[in-house]
Amino acid sequence: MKKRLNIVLGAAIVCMALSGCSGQEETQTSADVSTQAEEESQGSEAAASGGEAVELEMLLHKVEVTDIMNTMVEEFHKEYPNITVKVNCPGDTKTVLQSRAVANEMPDLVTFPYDNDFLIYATDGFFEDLSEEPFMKENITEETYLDNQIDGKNYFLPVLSNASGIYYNVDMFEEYGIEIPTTLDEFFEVCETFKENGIIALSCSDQETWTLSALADRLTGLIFDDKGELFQDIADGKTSAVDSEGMRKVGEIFLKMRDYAQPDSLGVGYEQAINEFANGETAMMYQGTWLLPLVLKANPDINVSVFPLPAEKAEDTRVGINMDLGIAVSVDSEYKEEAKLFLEWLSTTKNAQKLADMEGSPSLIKGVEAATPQFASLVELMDEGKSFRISRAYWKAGMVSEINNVFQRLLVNKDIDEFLLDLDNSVKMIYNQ
Amino acid sequence: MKKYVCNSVKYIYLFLGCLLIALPLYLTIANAMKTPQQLSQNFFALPESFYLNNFAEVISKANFFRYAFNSVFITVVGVALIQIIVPFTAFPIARRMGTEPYFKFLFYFITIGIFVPFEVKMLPLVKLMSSIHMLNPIGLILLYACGALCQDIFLMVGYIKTIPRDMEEASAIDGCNRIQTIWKIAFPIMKPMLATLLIKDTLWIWNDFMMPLLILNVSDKYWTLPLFQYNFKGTYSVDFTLAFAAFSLSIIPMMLVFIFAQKKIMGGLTTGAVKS
Amino acid sequence: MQKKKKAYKGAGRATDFLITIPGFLLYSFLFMVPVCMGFYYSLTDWNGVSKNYNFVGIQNYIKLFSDSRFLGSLGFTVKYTVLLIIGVVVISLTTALILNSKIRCGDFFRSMFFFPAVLSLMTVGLIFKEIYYRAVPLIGEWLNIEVLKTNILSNPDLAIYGILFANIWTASAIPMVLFYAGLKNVPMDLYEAASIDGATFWQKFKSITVPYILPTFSMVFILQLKAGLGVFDYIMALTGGGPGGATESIGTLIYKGAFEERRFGYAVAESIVLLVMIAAISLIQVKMTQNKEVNE
Repeated sequence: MKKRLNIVLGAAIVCMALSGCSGQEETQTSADVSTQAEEESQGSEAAASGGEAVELEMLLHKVEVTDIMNTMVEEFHKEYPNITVKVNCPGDTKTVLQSRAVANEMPDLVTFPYDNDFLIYATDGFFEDLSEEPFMKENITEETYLDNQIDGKNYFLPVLSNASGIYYNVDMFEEYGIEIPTTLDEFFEVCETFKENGIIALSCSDQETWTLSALADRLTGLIFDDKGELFQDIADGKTSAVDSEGMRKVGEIFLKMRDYAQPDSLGVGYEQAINEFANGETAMMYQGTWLLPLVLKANPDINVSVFPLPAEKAEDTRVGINMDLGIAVSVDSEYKEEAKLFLEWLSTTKNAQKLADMEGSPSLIKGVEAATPQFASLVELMDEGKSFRISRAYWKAGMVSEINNVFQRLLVNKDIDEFLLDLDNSVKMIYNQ
Repeated sequence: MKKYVCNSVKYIYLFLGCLLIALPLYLTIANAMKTPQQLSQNFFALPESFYLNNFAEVISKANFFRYAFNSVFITVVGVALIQIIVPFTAFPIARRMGTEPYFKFLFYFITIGIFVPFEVKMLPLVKLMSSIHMLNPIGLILLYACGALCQDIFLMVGYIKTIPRDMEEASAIDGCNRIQTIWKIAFPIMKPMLATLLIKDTLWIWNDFMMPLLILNVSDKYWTLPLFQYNFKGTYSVDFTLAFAAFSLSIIPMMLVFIFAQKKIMGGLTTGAVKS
Repeated sequence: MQKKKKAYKGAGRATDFLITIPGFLLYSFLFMVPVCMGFYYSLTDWNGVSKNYNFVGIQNYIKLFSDSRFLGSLGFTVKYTVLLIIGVVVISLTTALILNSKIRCGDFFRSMFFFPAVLSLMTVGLIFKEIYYRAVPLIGEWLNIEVLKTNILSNPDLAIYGILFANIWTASAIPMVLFYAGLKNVPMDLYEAASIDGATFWQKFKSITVPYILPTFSMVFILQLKAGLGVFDYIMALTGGGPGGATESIGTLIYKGAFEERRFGYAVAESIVLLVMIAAISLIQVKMTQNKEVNE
């Protein structure tokens, strides 16, 4: 019994002691970051640059770019020794950001993709209006500037974009003497050729629900330039999905692609689909620019490249893009000027090029050259202005997860009319609740 | 003969059960010892060699030991706190809820918490903890202590009720005061259930991801192992081999806790002493 | 004797009261306060992020009872819960009974059967997904069972069993330990006496074991009831609610409502209804078993 008491008391004492010291830490970090940072950088050039030492927190949503962002931040610190940017990447940023908003402790800088889950913070007034900042007007093209406005204002600096296309196994294409298709019909001919040779043409991961909407929102954009009007009209009772020619076509293409996919594609997960493609069991896979490192990790020897998913006519082919990394400044940040200074620094062509070279994705900053040879054909189209923002950002929140279900049911039932009816009901349900 | 059949059935059951459990166990460890390429080629195959680079990489990641320390600290202090509060709260409730309204109220007040879905209190919790400046490991420990309370009080009260009161009554008659009685008589009786709760709570705190994510996201110096492991998952990918290595590493301490605690459960009750 | 017993009942009342205070305060402040705040949000149209929201009264609750999605997922959730409780109770009790009897290598088997509890959910999800995708179809081919030849998670009718299997696989370990601890309480001399009287195994089980483990059974029942009706993580890890919404539970609906559709107030209202359901069923269960338990 004595032993037990000892353990218990010991634990209690440790607990109290630590609560004491961590309490101190707490006040130090939240109330007076500057003193702490000052202490840290004492003796460095902090004094030389004259500014007050400042530490900024950047909440980063992409785990895979943590190291890259840390490198950039260090470069920045070299030029501005009084400003330290601390990259914080705890995973599941959506939840973290929500908890920080609720706790009223928003990070100074927030990164996010162009997605309803995050844009809501802009509309709810958590982000600083950057529309008038010189770097926003000078360092990105006017098109990008206008494209990323929310209610006529720019709340974030768009930095990197993703683009989606068909990944293909170059060796397999050469083996069967196949040319890159330029129209949708040609694309399905390619699929047919593989099928005749007993090869699964397309890797589909239909068990992973997000990959379904990731194809659906790009197809709606490609086929009928969806900007969200269709769903809104359906919700308002102005039209019906059943009458939408574009939507019918999307459903047909969606279904036809499965003729050339794994026979049990609904049972295939994302990693499994990647592995099958990387190991040459399938010839193609439709995905975004983020897929390349994953394919190369699963099989470093694969000879892989990407072509854009063609439209019905060659000249209509456009590439579906979405901002993958944008950075906003919190409206409640104590150090807005320093945070903006960082954005200004990051948006110069030189630094943006450095970031793009390390990250590999197409950059949204003016004058940055494409870094990854595999994406050349996608970037070419983007430079010609033949690109479109994927439609999910125009849909109402909750529609993306609902559309996953609708498309999965299409794959189960394989019936276009039923699918259109189903979609009609789902849209009405989500929009009118 | 009958006994023989009975015994065979038992062992067949145990054997099949082990087989069913061994496969995932094997997969976890085998895939921790593969390169990403080997894993992508065959998930089920034996690793080609005794490849330990994944483990080495996990451990050599910056701050691994810091996260491990945080996890151990939070788990140990949290569980210790639970193990003090639970018996002192549960015992009076179990013995008095039949006759006294306060204890009856307390029992239902606490056990209703079992039924509260986490979403109800998730965001309010963050708001509350932030307003009292407790978004730190100590705050998290307190949250664990009271989060465990509802299930643990429920289990402990149910357990104590099955035990006759004779010994406590005898000790009271012998002139022990209440604290002495609880200390000398009640604690040993509660031991098997305390050990069970120890296992349950240790596992829960050790593996929990959501609460540390909500409470400790301010700085990575507070991170626990589950947060660290989650970071093998990118926006569009999972670093499988490293994740499996990290999982394998975090299993070991839990198995040790179980083996230690199950002895307490077994040797727990002094069956002979409570004959009524 | 009678008098002394009475004296005992009164003794230490103040002490008993005092030692429950810390638990009571901690729980009230850190558990009940957030729950009450949460309940308040269920009466608003808060989106879970914004600084502004409106009080809407019980509007969310009224909407709920005509929400076809909520009612639809209710059916799935109830089916899932019933199967989960049966599965977990049968497996954990059988295992505990066997482990409690005289067997060789008891320590080894106990540790082995406990093992699933230590795996984190992410691991369980990853591993079972691979097993269903690659291993189970092979068995299907081999035994020539048509439904097993494709991934059962891709089959709207079977996906529920795939999730259940993984859930029962992990969730049985702790109840097994609980039952095991409960069985240790059964006085051995009762068994011995019954054996001398010539009772069969079943008779002994029914009249000696069952009354002693009924409290444990109640605990396991209630904990699994809660786990089943609130199920969310296993579904997210294995099917994400698919295929085509066939495995959408109330738990996943609440999650999606709160964090994807940004209807936090409404989602909390759903959780509160769930809470009331679980509490009501538990209360009935407790009342039903109460008089059968061994109580001094």
